[in-house]
Amino acid sequence: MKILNLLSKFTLVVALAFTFHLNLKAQTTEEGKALYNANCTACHAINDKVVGPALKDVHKRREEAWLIKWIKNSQALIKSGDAQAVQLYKENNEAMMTSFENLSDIEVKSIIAYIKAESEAPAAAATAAVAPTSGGNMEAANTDWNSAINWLLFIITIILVLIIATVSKILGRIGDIQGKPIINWNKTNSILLMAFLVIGLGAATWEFWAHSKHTVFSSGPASEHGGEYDSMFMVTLILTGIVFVITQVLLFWYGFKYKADGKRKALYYPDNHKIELLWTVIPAIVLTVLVIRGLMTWNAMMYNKSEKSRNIEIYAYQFGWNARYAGVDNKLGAHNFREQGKMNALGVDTNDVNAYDDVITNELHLEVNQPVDLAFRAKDVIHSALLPHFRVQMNVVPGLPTRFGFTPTVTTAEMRTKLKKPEFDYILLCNKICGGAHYRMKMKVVVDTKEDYQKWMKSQKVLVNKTTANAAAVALK
Amino acid sequence: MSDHNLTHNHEEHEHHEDNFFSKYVFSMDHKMIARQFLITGIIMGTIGMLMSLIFRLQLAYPDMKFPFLEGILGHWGKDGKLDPNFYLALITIHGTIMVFYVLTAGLSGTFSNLLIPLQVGARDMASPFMNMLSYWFFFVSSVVLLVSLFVDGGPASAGWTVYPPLSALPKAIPGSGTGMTLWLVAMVLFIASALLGGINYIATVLNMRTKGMKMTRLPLTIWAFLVTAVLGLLSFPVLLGGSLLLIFDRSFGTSFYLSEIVAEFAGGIERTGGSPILFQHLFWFLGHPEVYIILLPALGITSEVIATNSRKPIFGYRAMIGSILAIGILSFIVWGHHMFITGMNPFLGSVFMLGTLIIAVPSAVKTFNYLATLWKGNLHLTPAMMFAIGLVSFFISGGLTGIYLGNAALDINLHDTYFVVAHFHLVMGSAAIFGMLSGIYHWYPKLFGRMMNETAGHVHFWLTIISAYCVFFPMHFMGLAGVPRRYYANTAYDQFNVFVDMNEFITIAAILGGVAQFIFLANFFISIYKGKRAPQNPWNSNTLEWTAPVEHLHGNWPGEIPHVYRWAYDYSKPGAEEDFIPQNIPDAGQTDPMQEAEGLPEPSKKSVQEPVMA
Amino acid sequence: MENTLKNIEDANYIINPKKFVLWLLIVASIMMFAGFTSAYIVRRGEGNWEIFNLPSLFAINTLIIILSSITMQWSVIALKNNKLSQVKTMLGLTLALGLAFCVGQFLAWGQLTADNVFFAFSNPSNSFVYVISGVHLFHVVGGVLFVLIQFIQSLRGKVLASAPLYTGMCATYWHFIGILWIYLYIFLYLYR
Repeated sequence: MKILNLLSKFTLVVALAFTFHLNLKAQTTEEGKALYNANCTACHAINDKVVGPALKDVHKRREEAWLIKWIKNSQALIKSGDAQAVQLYKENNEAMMTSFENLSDIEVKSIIAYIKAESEAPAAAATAAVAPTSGGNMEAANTDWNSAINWLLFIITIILVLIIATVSKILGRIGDIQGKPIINWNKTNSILLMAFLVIGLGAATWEFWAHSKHTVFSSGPASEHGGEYDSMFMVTLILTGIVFVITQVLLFWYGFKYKADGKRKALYYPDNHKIELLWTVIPAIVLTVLVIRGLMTWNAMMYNKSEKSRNIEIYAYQFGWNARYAGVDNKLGAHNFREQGKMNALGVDTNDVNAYDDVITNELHLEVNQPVDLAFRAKDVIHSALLPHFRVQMNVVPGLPTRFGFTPTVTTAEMRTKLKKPEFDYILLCNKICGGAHYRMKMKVVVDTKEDYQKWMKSQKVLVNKTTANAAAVALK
Repeated sequence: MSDHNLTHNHEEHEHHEDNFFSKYVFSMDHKMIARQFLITGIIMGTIGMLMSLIFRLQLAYPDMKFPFLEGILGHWGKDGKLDPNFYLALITIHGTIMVFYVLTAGLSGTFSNLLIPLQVGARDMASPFMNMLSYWFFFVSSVVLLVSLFVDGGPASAGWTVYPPLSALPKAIPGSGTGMTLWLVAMVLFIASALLGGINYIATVLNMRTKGMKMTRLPLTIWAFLVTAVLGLLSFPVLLGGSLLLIFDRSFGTSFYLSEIVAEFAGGIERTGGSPILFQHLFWFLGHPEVYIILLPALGITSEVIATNSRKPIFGYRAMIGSILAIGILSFIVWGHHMFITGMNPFLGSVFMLGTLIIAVPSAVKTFNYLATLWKGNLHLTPAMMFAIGLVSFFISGGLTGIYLGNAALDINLHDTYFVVAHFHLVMGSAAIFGMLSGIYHWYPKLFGRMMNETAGHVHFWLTIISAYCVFFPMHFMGLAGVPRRYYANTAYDQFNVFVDMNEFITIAAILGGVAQFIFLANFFISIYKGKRAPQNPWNSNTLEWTAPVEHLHGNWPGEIPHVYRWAYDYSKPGAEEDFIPQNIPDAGQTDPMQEAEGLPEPSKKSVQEPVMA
Repeated sequence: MENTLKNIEDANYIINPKKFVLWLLIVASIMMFAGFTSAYIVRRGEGNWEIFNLPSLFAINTLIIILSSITMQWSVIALKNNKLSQVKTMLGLTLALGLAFCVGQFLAWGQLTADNVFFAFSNPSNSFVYVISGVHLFHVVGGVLFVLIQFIQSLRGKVLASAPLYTGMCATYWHFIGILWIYLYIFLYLYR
């Protein structure tokens, strides 16, 4: 009987693994575009070389069968000595392309079809379809620097340096002959110091006025703890701002006022314990205030796990993100790193019942005013999940679980109205150097109302459907 | 290097025949070694600076093509576009060069070597041979690092902090192959150099001071160099240990820093059981003192330059020593502030936060003391003095943002953004470079026996300070908008498009700053041959190095080493004829320096007088 | 150069610079081992730690190194009392014991592998034993060379001429690596 039991368990596990496989595939049943955007944009664009080469007309350059092999396991293809593969690898500075073994042949074909369609579409449309490029530089996009201009600039630079050197030299010589320098640098410098102070403070003020509105602080926090964070920031800003202005003004003012004029002697004033004590104690008091305030904020942000929190796992890899929702039971299934990268991209433990109702997505949807507890996990190297609008950041370390809990308070729609930017989206971006496509490693974050969230969640597929799950649960008991 | 003969004692000359190698290459003379460190540092600095200009071009014009890049970089700049992997290599090597090769070896190596024997009154270092070895380790290390630029896969690209697993797994990125191995070799050699140098500095300062040179009479430069050397001695071995474990992980299959890495990614055999965070602990245990290894010598130089050129004693000499010591000690218990968001225990985070913010107190004391030294001074605004003032300005600007980043709570959103880039480029990048330049302008007559051109020096200063502020100040705002550092381009994010203009502005300012450095380079190298001959004591300074002859000679002083009768800061002392009294001049009635009880003038009401109008 | 450096003698040092340099080197090396052992503790605290058994040879090696410290000190005292033959014997004994320690450590590693404790592709706890004892062994090899030089000098009768300075330094270093090993052994024993 025991053997039979074991056997049945074994079959079930295999069957489960298979359903996992199908369902993971089922998640990506959208057309090639969705697949392309989810898997390829980290390293590729249609028209431009990014980390990997431009994909335009790739269907003309390579055989489809070859492409499928390459995409699913480029390393194996290189190792097999395939001439095309080896050459491509060398051309791209031996940067390894991620293997997409979890993609089926059909899926790869759909991606190729999408690239084909994009290649044939007019260039402008193609650029728009690629991950957003900067609007401001559009016109400059295709202008090359004329190499003649480069050389001209280079030569002008050298000439300029030489001119300054010569003029300095000549001034020095004339000064020597006359017995007094041509430029009284003491006076000139003292005036320049004052000018620098005034212009510098002016420019700094202008910057505050002009650029503060671009910071994430201008739109206010989008999370519960963000309010406290922002007020802590403002307190620090005001205190340091005052110190900054006072000390800089004194520094440059003294430089101006006490320049040597040949008439005075300096004041011999080596020590004054009272004053020194004063400016040791005052900073110490100010800092104590900041420390206490900071500790309060820090503790509020760190010790905030609540029972009601919705558990979501954020999974990072070179170069992309996935979110795994804990499902109805609000328990994330265990994971096993050895199962990663085969048919089970996230390495979810196929033996854990809790995993059955988990939902894996490419976007992070959050429900407004609902606490979430993000658990972070990485596949390969250290990444860092930064959600600037929520004042949230945590490193994602392979083999070392980290977490961050918070409550979003402003929906995407509300934020769009507030910022008057209809195309605005929250983002989660990678903030720890992780390789060539580090700068494109991001995930869209959406804060929904309760209804929208539930609607979205319903449209997502759970890892294992209910009937299989029930059967498994029974069997495993 | 110089076309004049060194004047030797006759008896000395009989024993010591200078040939080219023993004089310029394998010299054991501390002044020559200082020159070697300086020139190597300047060359490395120029390379590091040019690298930064290349990646600044990329950041400002992410969509443009620069055909000349292909000429310089070959396949890394194909079609005039910088390769994203090579962008990471550039920032990594830029950081490594600037932090270790320029601001540690180039700054501390140069001025500790030059000034320690001369200012404490010693013939040479405790072990001139080790000193020579220190330079040659540094030189070989520099060569290895530069060679790594040309290997397959490119140089190390995991950032100058080389966090594993990125740096530990050769497969993770192209730069983690041979390039990373060479980086580690270079770093081990560098650590050997730093240790040999540091041990020498400590032994010399503590043991070989001339008669009458009590610790409380040492110039602040020496105090700064001493504490710097102690910091290096205590922290570099830990990095050596950490690097050793990283080498084992890379090449011998251990997994100290690797956990849950699948076989396919780890070169065939899965690695598990280690901790990537462990490396960060070991790295930052060096890494944070390293910040002060960079900064303290610059602050020491500034103290000396400001006092001399203000013609005023440094204000609060003892408080300055105290704050140097306090900074030195505290720097060992704050490394965790680099790791607030690695998921460390929040309580531990609080402890590190407390320590970090306490460091602001001695730093504030130093700043206020500088201001008090300038107050009612008689400022000679030489290039060295201007750079020293620039340092204080950067120290304030960059130091204040440290209060944001040292605050664990605020660090959450600012960590690894451009705010951090702005912070450390101001407080340890620009400030330390300014300290180094200040030192070069001030001690050039001592190093090369000639004067640098003053006008070119001032032009250099103004262009540099303007460009440095224009480059780094705007970066704060990018950081506050959440723009991460080490991004090849910001084009993938709609929100960051508003900074296109700013990035362009920063790059133009950086190019301006780069051009200004060529004025300095021209001034520096031309003056070696063509500069005006330096007088004995060009800045009317009190310290002992100016009593040594302008022409270098082994053993520094032709006769007996001068004895010391006072502290280094008797400028504009009431009653004295000149506005300076060198340390080797006794007071009337003062004969034997060893019997004298107190070297410091007591702060008394009498000494506080209105400036005497001449 | 010699001529000018002779003048260093007129500086008033508290302690011989060479001795002082040695002490600083020892400090540097202490810091490295402090780094290793604290990394060990931090890593151990994180769990997933394979407990291993220390090879019995480690204990014997500990005795050997303690013994060698005694013979080393003996030679220093003999030198002070100007008993050259004793100096020779004791330095020779120290050298032999030092070599025995080195061989013993190698054998101990053999015991470790036999006990399924491997350097590579294993739990970091295993790798740590090798790294810590290996880096220490590297120090010992340096010490053995230092003793060897002293031994040869003593055979050539030069040890007195070259002043007790070097023998003293050699002894300092030798005691250091002895004490270091005892610390490491106790550490590894307590925190397996």
